[in-house]
Amino acid sequence: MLQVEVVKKLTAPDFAVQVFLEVGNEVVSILGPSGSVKSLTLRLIAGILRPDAGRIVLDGRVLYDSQQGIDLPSRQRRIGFVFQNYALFPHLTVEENISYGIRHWPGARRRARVQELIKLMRLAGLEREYPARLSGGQQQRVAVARALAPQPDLLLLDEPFSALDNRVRERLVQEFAQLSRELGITALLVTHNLEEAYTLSSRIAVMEGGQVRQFGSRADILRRPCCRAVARFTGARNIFDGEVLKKEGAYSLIRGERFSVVAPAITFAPGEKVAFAIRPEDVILMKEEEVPDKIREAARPPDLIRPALTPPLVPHAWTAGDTVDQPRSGQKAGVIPRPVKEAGQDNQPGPTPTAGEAVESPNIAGWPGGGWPAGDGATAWNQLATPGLENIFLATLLEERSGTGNNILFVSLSGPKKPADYDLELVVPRNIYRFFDLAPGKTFWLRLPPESIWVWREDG
Amino acid sequence: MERIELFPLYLSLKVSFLATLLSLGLGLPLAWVLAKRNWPGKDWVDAVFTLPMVLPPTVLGYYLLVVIGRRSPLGAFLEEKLGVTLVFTWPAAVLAAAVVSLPLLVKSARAAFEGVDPNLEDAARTLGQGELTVFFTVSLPLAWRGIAAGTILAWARALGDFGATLMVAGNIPGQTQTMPIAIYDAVLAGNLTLANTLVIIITLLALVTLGVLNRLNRRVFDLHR
Repeated sequence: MLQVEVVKKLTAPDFAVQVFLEVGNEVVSILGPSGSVKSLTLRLIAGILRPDAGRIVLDGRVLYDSQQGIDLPSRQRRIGFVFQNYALFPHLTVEENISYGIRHWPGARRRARVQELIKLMRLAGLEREYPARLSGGQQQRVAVARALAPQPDLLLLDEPFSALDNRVRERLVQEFAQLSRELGITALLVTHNLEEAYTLSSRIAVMEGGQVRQFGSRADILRRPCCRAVARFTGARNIFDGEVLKKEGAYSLIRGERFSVVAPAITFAPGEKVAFAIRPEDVILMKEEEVPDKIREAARPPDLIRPALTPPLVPHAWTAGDTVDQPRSGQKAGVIPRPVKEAGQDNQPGPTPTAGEAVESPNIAGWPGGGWPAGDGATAWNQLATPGLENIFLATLLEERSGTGNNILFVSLSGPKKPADYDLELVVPRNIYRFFDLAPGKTFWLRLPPESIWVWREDG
Repeated sequence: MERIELFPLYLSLKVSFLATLLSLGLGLPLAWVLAKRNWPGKDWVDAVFTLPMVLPPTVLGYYLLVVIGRRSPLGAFLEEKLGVTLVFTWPAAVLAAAVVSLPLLVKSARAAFEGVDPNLEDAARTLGQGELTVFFTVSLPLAWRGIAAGTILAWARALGDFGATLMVAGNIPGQTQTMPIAIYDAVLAGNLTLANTLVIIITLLALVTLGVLNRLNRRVFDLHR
């Protein structure tokens, strides 16, 4: 069990590093872009660098405590360190490297331990070689073996896989994942690669600008980021600012700049400014026949359609403005199209519908015939808050890129426009893309499942 | 006659050898501390110990006289309490040779220590080894070629010193007459046979030294690094 609370002021770049971490009997990754001083954090824990203030406790032993004036030198901390460039002793053989940390052990025990590690790390036959003659993967395994030899309480790894090419890296990451599980190693790993962090650790600490922004389980980091910095780094690429309009039971309504969404219940109050995000891979493509008629028809003009909440929620009908109607007794939930305000157009509201009545949409010069209305932030409310049918939008594919086994789509929710001005980024598996027979310019239905929408408030 | 001819050779070898030892003893720790640590006044210390490379040897000899001469505090103390006079003895020659050769050793050794990847030393520390062990098992083995090259340069400089040695040790045949001084003396006296002999010996020594240095330098670029 490692507890770290340290601060260190840096001069170049000029900021303070503040780390608060707790690592149990597990592998934790510190994830962050380059330059977020992740390696420095490891060095502070290992005793290679001294913090300005703080406390480091490992398995009940105080390694560093600025208030009590304790600062154990590296050699007494029982911490293994794997350097980014491995730092193998070039003048010693593989065997000698591995046994360096246990040179004071009695001969037989030392040799046995070295053999054990050589077998574990698949280094048989290389005992007498010098590091310069080994491949990158082999060097890395020697570095890990050397660090593990003295049976340290904690293993620190500084970007241990970044110097390897992709194929070798994948294999070693898998091996290390398995190894750490088998041996029950407590380890802290630094990386800038999200996949690595996700594969190897149960919890991830995302660092940016010298601070730990979020420290939580893998799922938390990926699906419930605390802030833009974390969201961006973990691939939640559709991040929007918004305002809470309404909360009702299990749903909330968030208005974003370009479109609004029905999101799960949140703790924020109406009127609060929030951010929300949906991961590109969580957006669902829908077949035309899956989309309810009402939505399909109503979405043709770029229209304001009020969402209705089905029982057991109180049926409300939201108006085209930002206010919420009081429930009128007897009114049933329904979809009521309303004309959109357009410059120069008659601003009279359409006929007041009675419950259940289908209203003919006025013939607005809108998509797909003419151009889209130049609304000043007019949002296309296209939501029917029926479970399974929330947040259905008609999207236009602007641009498409091929990924490995998938396609990355950039779509607009407000009609055709320049690809650079896309509203949403989606990732769909290749077979789905082919199934829908999409091409730039074509339209299709998509859905943003509320449970995949994460809402948070940026703390400054 | 033979013995007198060979005495400067014997003296020079003795003096240069001892001077090099003295340089190593002082220079290695200094080089390490300059390479690995930062401390206030470091640049000044570095400058002071580089001076002997820049100042004329006779100026160095003068400073040495000021420090250990019979009228200096140190010299007077030594004479009174221990009955020892340093000036115009062969130990003074050792001192002079050491002073002029120290900077060469320190510069080379410092570069050699700086050339050792600090990660290696940090790795050794995290593997439980104390500072001395780290030095002898990691720093020194990886820096020894640079140090050896520096030592040889220092020795060559010590062997060839003239000005500083002359100032503090004088030109006393059979006592403080090192080879460079003996050559000078022989030329002045017109004894060209002696001069030629001594010159050839020194030249051969120099060639051998160069050969050894070259081999050391070539190996520095091998796969070890």
